[in-house]
Amino acid sequence: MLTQSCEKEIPSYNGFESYTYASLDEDGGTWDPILLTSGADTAIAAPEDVTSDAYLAELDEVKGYVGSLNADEQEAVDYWGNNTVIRWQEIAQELVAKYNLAPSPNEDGSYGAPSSANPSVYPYFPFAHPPYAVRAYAYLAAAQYDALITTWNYKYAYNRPAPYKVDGSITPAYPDNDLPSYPSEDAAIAEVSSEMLKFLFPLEVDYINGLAQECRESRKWAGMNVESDLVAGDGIGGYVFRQYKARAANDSMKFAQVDAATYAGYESAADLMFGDMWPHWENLEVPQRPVGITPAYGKVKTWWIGSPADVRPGPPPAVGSAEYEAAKDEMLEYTKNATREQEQLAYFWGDGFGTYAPPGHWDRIAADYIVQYRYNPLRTARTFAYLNTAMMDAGISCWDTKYYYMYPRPPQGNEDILCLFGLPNFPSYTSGHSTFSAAAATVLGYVFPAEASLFESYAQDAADSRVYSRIHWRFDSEVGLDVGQTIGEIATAVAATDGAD
Amino acid sequence: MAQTPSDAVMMKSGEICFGLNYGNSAWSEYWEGDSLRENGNIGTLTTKSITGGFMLGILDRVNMIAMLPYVITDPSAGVVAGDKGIQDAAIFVKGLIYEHKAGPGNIKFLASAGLLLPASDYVPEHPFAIGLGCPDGIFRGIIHYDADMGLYGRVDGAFHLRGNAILDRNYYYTTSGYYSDEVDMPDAMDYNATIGYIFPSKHFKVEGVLNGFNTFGGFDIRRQDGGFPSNDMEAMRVGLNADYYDLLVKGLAVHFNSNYTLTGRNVGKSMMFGGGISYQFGLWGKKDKAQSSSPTPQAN
Repeated sequence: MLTQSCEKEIPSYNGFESYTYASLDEDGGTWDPILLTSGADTAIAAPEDVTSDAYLAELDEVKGYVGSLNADEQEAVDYWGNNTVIRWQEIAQELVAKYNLAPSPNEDGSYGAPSSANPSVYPYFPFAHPPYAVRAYAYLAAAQYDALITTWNYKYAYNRPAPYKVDGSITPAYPDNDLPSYPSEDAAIAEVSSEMLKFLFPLEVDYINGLAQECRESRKWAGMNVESDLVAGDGIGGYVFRQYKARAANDSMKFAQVDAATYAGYESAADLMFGDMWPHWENLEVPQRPVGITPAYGKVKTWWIGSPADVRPGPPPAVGSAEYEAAKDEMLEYTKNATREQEQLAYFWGDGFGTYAPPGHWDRIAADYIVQYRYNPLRTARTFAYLNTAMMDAGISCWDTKYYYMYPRPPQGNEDILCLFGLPNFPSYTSGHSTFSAAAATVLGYVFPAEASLFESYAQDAADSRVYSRIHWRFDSEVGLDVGQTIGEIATAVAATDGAD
Repeated sequence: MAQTPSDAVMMKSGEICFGLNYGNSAWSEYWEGDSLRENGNIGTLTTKSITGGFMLGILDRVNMIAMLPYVITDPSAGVVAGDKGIQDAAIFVKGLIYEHKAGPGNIKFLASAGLLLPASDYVPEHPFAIGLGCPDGIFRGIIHYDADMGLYGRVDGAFHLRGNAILDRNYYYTTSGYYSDEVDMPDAMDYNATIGYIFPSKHFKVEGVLNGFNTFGGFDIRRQDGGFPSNDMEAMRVGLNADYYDLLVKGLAVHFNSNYTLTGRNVGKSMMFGGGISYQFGLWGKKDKAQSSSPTPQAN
């Protein structure tokens, strides 16, 4: 307390300074969206001319802010900066972290389940476990991208200059550029992002509304947009959100968490196919959680891969086989003798309860390179869109594999194997983090080719970290990396033909 | 230990003391926020420690105390391993500021200041971490009254000025998200009220202690979340200590200490027992130092 004034602030967001975009991607309106047919799917009316009375009245409002921002307004201008896509990704990461907690047991040893119908009744909705988290990130990022393709389409159709280009008395808060300001890219992002996050995190409506309002208004404070720029952006954001909401309502996520009776069918199916090779996975918590996390997530609608069965890997080794015994020896060795460096990797890539989950970790890494390469908001959204849709497909594929084989975690039946942190509530084979990470590294390596080997080494670290922490077998991680890479390549093959390269 | 930063024991200039203490603390319930619960994936968490201590009388009125603990944590249930390692090195300076005859006895005012620093790269976010992983500057005031007939009373209180804890990961959520491996730790206070009695033989001393600890701020553990270094931690404990001095040989002492957590917040409801030995002798100073080498007399 005494030293508060001289302590450095601990960053709660990426502290990038607003920058000059490396390019404006003037043809961005012609790129292929993820869900929409084209950037012209929704009609946006032509703006008033910059000489019209209506426009001049709006311009006067913006001029009124010049040199007269209060401290809160200035802080908002600095915080939101000139790439608000990154801010909304961070907000999503924070919401995932907040909601990434498993239900606590009841007095009688039973567990409640979150309900979207009663989100405020404990356990609160949602439980943002990795499958929920990556779906949230994917819908957010893909919708942001489609909204910005649409925005770019109309920006260059109408070519209305920014307020600071029209009136020299307005000094923009961010580096100036020749991007037309109608419709506002930041209003479109604020609208589509806030609507999507309210849909996914229904208890956060007030918090998200406040952020959206501030993001939107800060464009006028910054001299970047007039009100009609923002209104047009709002319209695009709202339209694109409704298309994605319709997809989300029918992507089978609502069936992903099954009841106990249905779950028994997963166990008996695995016993029938693999019962002579391994005992089916069981939750090892006390009291035992009766059903794993989202057993039917493998049936959720994918973005790029066909059926998850198309990329499903072959079976893991039978218990008692030479490969199993070698993997078990490795688990016992790390239980006793993991080095501090191995533990450090395990915690660094832990991404467990109360965090943004493995996909959020990759989004956070992506933001650093987006800033380093000075990406404009459209290209930023494209990066997050392919990154997160590929990671969601990786998750769907991995969950299909997990509940198909129902392979036990290392400590199941091996009491001498102890973990660095708690076991996730789903089967072992394959490793989710490894699958997410290889898909992520492949997409990011495509987007930033000069960094490809670095991202690959990160994915390897993430995969190894699961072995060091003894929550995964070596083969869980190795096979997860292989499948994740395959899925990343499928996604980047689509990206390579979307018109952006 | 033969002397702590929160008691009124002072060693004469040139006196030196080495001590070794064993502690065993266990809880099977903890407060998640203000809600007391069990956890089937922890069972009973036992924390054992061995602490080496070193005390030196620099001047009659200025002493130095240093300690280094080795800590082992061990849960009885679940699949998560406990942790072990060297915890926080401590160094304190304690001074007798003022001493005055008052009523039937003597009143003393003392102060101590010191620093705890993590002495190894242990992991503060380990589910069963051996420590908080932050530097802790501790500034304490002590008022001690020796009444007649061996009875004494003491109150002391300390402010903990705590630096940031360092994690292995660089993102965490408290009540909002942070992109850093550094955790801003809330400062804290602790206080003790002690009543003790020295038996007429001057060899044996017993005391009862009421101890409190409170952070200034911090956040509650949410339901089913793990603990975190910057939690809002509160505890009220009662304790019993006993010391026997000059056992067999002059300067050799045995010590017993214990406490029990009555109420708390984001801490375990623990029962702790500890015991140790110390040996004190003269290194320099007056020729008659042998006469003052025992800490038992009025200097307590």
